[in-house]
Order: sequence, then C-alpha cells, then structure tokens
Amino acid sequence: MNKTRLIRFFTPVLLACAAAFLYGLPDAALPGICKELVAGTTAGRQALVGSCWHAPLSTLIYLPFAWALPPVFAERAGSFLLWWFYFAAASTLLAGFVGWCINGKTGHLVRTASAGALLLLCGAVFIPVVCVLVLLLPFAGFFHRETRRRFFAWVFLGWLPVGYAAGVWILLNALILGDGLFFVRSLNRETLRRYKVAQSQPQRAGRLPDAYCLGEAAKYVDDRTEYGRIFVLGYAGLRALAANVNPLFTPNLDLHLDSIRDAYKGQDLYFLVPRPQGLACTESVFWRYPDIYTHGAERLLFAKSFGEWHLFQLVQAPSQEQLDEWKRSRNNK
Amino acid sequence: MTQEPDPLELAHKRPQWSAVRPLTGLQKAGFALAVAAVAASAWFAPVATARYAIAVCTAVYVALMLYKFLILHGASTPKAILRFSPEDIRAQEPREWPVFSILVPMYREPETLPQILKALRELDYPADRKDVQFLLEADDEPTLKAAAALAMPPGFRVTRIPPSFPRTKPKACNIGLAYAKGDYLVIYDAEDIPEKDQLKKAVLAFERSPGNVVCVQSRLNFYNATQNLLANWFTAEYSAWYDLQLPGLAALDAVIPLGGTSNHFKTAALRELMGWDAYNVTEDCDLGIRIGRLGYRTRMLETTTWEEACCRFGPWIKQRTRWQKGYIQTWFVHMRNPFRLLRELGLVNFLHYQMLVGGVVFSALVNPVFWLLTLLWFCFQPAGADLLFPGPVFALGAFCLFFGNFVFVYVNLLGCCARKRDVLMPSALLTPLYWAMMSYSGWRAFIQFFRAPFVWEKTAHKGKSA
Repeated sequence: MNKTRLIRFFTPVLLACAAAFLYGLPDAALPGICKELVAGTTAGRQALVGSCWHAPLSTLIYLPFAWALPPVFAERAGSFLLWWFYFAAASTLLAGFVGWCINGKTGHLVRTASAGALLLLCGAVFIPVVCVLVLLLPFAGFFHRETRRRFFAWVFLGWLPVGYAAGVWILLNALILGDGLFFVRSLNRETLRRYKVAQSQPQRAGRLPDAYCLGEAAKYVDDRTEYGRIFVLGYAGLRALAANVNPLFTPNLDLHLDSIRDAYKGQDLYFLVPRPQGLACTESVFWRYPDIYTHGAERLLFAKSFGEWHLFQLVQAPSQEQLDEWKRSRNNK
Repeated sequence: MTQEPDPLELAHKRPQWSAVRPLTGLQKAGFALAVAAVAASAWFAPVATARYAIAVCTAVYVALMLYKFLILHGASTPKAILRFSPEDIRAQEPREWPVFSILVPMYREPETLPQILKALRELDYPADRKDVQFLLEADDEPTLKAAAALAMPPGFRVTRIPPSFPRTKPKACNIGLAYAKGDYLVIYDAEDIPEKDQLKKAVLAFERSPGNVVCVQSRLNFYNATQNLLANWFTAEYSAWYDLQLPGLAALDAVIPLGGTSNHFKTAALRELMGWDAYNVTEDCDLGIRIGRLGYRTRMLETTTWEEACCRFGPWIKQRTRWQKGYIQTWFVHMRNPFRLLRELGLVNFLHYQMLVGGVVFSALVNPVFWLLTLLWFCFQPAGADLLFPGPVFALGAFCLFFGNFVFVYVNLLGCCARKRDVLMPSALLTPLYWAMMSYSGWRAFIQFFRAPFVWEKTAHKGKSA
C-alpha cells in the first residue's frame, strides 16, 4: 500500500475513533429507532424515514449492530462505524469534487454524486453542502475541453443519485406517514427559531434520567387505572424507550389524537411530551402543536411533570364496558 | 488418412463437463428433494416458510448489490483492460505476425455474408496470415450458394458442417477448431464488424500477458443502437457489461463468462480444453468457466466488435431465453461436484461463479415475485405483510428495492457514458422495464431447460445495410 493510500485509509479511521470516543453515537435516538425496527412496529418504520435530523441511512447502518450485539457493544461498534462512514463519505465527496474540477474524469464525478446521495441520507447537517456541490457538478465539466460538450451526461450522472435519494425519501414519507414532506416539515422558520433559542440556553442542571422519569410516570398511571397506556412522543421518546420493556409505553412519532382515541377505545390514554430543547424542538409534535408542552392540546389535560417530561391525559368519554364496570363496583360498595 | 474431427469430443471424453446430460441423477434427486421440502414446509408452516424464503432472497440481493459495487471498483483500476495504442502496434512493424484463425459460424444468413467478408478482408492483418473458415451447415443451401457466388480471397474457405444432432453453433465451431491452422483463433458472428486492428491487438495482448492467459475477450457493442427503444436498452446493457463489468471482473482476476463472439484464444489451449460444449446453448459462458477450472485466465482487450442488436420483442425474447437457459445449464454442469469446483476455482472464484452465473438466473426468476409483493404492498398495504417482513428484513428489502435497483440502472447509465452514447441515457432510465422482459425470458428458459434443453432458438440477423 503506498503512502497516499495509507493516509486515505487511516485518516477517517483515526477521526472516527476520536469522534466515537468523544461523542459516542452521533444520534442518541438510534438504539430506540432500531429497537422498534427490529420489532417491526409502525413507529419504527415512521422513525426510519420521518425526520431529516434522524436520517435513514445512519439508522440502517446501525441496525445490524442493534440487532446482533448487546447494547454496550452495539453502541461502541456502531458509533465507530457511523463516524467512519461520515468521514469517509464526506472526504470522498470533497476529494471527488476537487478531482472532477481538476482532472475531468468521470470516476470523480460518479464518486462525488454517490457520496453526495449517501450523505444526503445521513441527515440535515450534510444537506446544504451536498446540494451545493452536486448542483455545481455538471457546470464544473466546462473546465475541460473533452467534458465541455457533454453537459447532458454530467447532469444525468451527477444529479441523478442525489435526486433519486431525495425522491425515495419523499416517496417513503408519503407511503408511511401520508405526507411526502413530513421529514422536512421541521425546517420551518418557527421550529428553527425555537431550536436556536433552545441551543443558546444552558443545559439544565440536575436533569433526571429518562428511565427514572418513565418509571415514575408508569407508577403514576398504574395507580390510577388498570387500562392505562402511555404514548411517549417523538424521537426523544424512542431514545428514552430504548432500554424499556414495560408494555405500558408505546412510542409515537406522528401524533393524531383522534385516530389514537379510536384505535384504543376504552383505555385511559396518556401522553408523555418531552421538553422542546435541543433536537427535540424539531419533533413533529411541536410543529403540529407548538405549545403542547406548556399548554397541552385539545382534550389533553396536564397530569404531572416528570423531570424533562410532561404527562398529559386524553379526556374522552368512557366506553360502555367501563361504565358497566364502574356501575358494578359502585353497587358492590 | 486424416481422422475425422469429433465435434462432441468434450461430451465423449469428459461427459461430466458437458451438458449432454442437463441434470445428473443426484442433481435430479436433490432438486426434487428441495422442491418437496419447500412444498411441505409451505404446507405446514406457510408464513414461516415465506418469511425465511424472503429473508434468504433479500440476503442474496444484498450480496449481488455489493458484488456490483466490487466489480465497478475493479473496473476503475488500470489492470481492468489491456490497452494498445496505434503507436504500440506501429512500433511492432515490421514483424512476422502469427497465423490467426477466424471462425465464422453461420446458419441461414446469406444476406450477412458480404458484410462479414468485407469486414474480415479489411482487418489490418497480413492476408497470408489469416486463416478464415465460414462454418456452414451442409444443408444450408441459401448460405452455401451465396458463399459460392462470392469471390473468396486466399486464406478464406468454407467448411461444411455435416447435419447431425445437436445442431448448435459450438458443434460447428469444434469442427472449425479441428481444421484451424493458426496459433491463435477468434470467433466472429455473421453480422460482426470488428475494429480493424483487433487481431494485432489480440496478438500483442497474448504476448504481453502471463502464459496462463489463454483467452482475450474484446468488447462488444451495437451499430444499430438507436434503432428503437429495445436497441437502446440492449446497447446500454452491453455497454455496462463489456465496458465496465467484464473489465472489473478481469481486474479482480475472476472467471469470466465469455461473450459469444470476438473471443480470441490460444489455439493449443483451446484444443486442450476440448473446444466448446456442443450441448451447451451458451457455450461461451461455459468455456469461460472451464478456462478458470483448468487454472487459465481471461483478459479484456480494448477493442470493439460491432454487432447488430436484436431489436424486435419476439426474437429478443428467444435470444435471451437461450442465453439464460445456457446459464442454467452451465450452473448445473459445474455444480455437479461443488467441492471439486471449489478446489479447482478456489474460494474467491467459486463465489464469483455463484454470483455471475447463479446470480443472473436467480435475479431473473425471483424478481417478478418481489415486484408482485411490492405492487401488492403499494396498492393494498395488506395487514399480514408485517409477518413476512420482520424488521431487519424489511429494512434490507427496502434498501435493495430502492437502492439496489438504482445501482443497476446507474451502472447502465455509466455504460452509456463510457461508450460516449449520451443519447441513450434517458432510455437507460427505463431499464426496469427491460428487466421485466428478462424475467419473462428467464422463466421461459427455466421451463425450457427441463422440456427442451438443447433447442437452439436462432437469432436472425440482417446485417448493417438492412
């Protein structure tokens, strides 16, 4: 192996080692998403494609680890591989673009376009740079006499992978979530403003662990009803539920109160809403119901606060069975 | 008294390497057992069986997709293809060029005879070093008459193939091989137009390659690429196969399923290999594998032979059926003793073989099932689908559906680009429709393999002027 190849090989490896050591998993929700995907739930499928902040390719790369390894090993191996992938793809994108501009070789164009498509599916962080570089690809062909006349070919080869990747993402959103642009809805001005504000605020000290909060919430609901169910909202919910096996909890990515009420008739439904801070600001629940954390929503009544989570109860008419049971218990008394 | 050549030598001397018996008794029993096991399993536990079958198929798809990446990576390396510039050839002159035998098997194609004659005459190679044989069936009156009417240059001759079973191109080629006088030998189809310096490049390729390189495959492409949509697709496929994938395989030092024409051989090695299997309907693919089994190698040569794309639906289906049937034959022939094949090819080439020969058949046969499942899911989103696609399988399946298919389309686009045929790129985007045709012919081939394994559905060519 020559020197250049060694550098090209080891640089992303070393960077990935450092990043994995310093930051761990690039997306803390990954274990939760993968858990749902392995279980084959709707929430898992929705989580796979439903947000440009928690992008599908990262999940797919992590999935085999989550499936085959115990969580501790999965997180270590997965975070290394993900970081390595990001560094390798980003360096391929940049080197390919520079190479295409300098040499005008088709291989460079193809590498740039392919790396761009892969990075596009790795999350919102990469989207701007990918879009700019890939858009410029066919025009960079004008730098060379032999490539100048084949603009049409470079448009095809350069834009197609990224366009296709975006198209597939849109299609999957339309199929799974019923809204082709669901994954980019959070990129609106209001959400981004909240995100910025939340980012600028200092981290709250003494934050209670999610597992503890969930345990407390479960106890709270169990004390009140035998027919309880708690929907834990958003990717923050998936992150919190990654190690949770209590069947009381159900992850929910796409909150539709009416359909949930219809689907779980006769049950006492609760909703755990994460505090809109950090990436949680971009959750679909907050661009659907901007004030849900503080004020709840229609028919959602605040029940109790558990650390960074607020528990709401869905107010609904009791089912006939519940009414009968209450009548029986009242008569018995 | 000279001994009559035996065109069925391979089948007579090494029947285990010939498709004379498409399936051995053991293979028949194994096949029946596998079908029975799957049927029984599907009867008693249909969901579990379907789930496992889908998981296995998905794993194979993923492997095929990754394999495609590997080949493409190989294609970008310098050793993928042997290149010789006109200067390289000029630097050789003056020199004594070896005798080069050219075999042109023809059957009922009198109209292409003037074209191939002209193309061979114009080959830049000393006239006295060309040993050309037109292999014509003895009962093919029209072509024989057309040949008799033409003035054959010195070194050009007609070899009559006595009518006998099987009536296949490889049988004719074996007779041609027996009468060949050259150190090297090449096959051209009746409608071929090879590039003028191809023979000289082939000689240089052999001389500059290691001794175990006994075959050099030229690139094939079509002169009627823009005739219609089918010709566009066919050209895109050929461009990707001969300009990217086969060079990629050569770079990986893999066994190469040869193309049916423009493969140059060392005659002695070809005789050692006992020529072509007269019973195999893709004798070229089979020969490529046998070359690998004997420890020899094939390399790709940067020179093109222009052919006529079959651009009508019916004949195309027949041609593709023959090719796919031949792949099935070849797979079963060489898998008669998998352990021996593994020993002879080595693990890496054994896997190449499975991917190249088995993978082609597998994709053609299984694709429609998955397309149907996808269509059902898109249209009806049936509730039971979750049971068939557990989480990881669903994720991998979706990955293959959306990205695997795209990779295959993109490879065809790259092929068009490499051939500088940008005008074909929009058609290449519609390649999935072409795959549907391939699946149809694949199933036709699968059925024909059991019902009429030796039937050779001849593709008629009209030549460039038509």
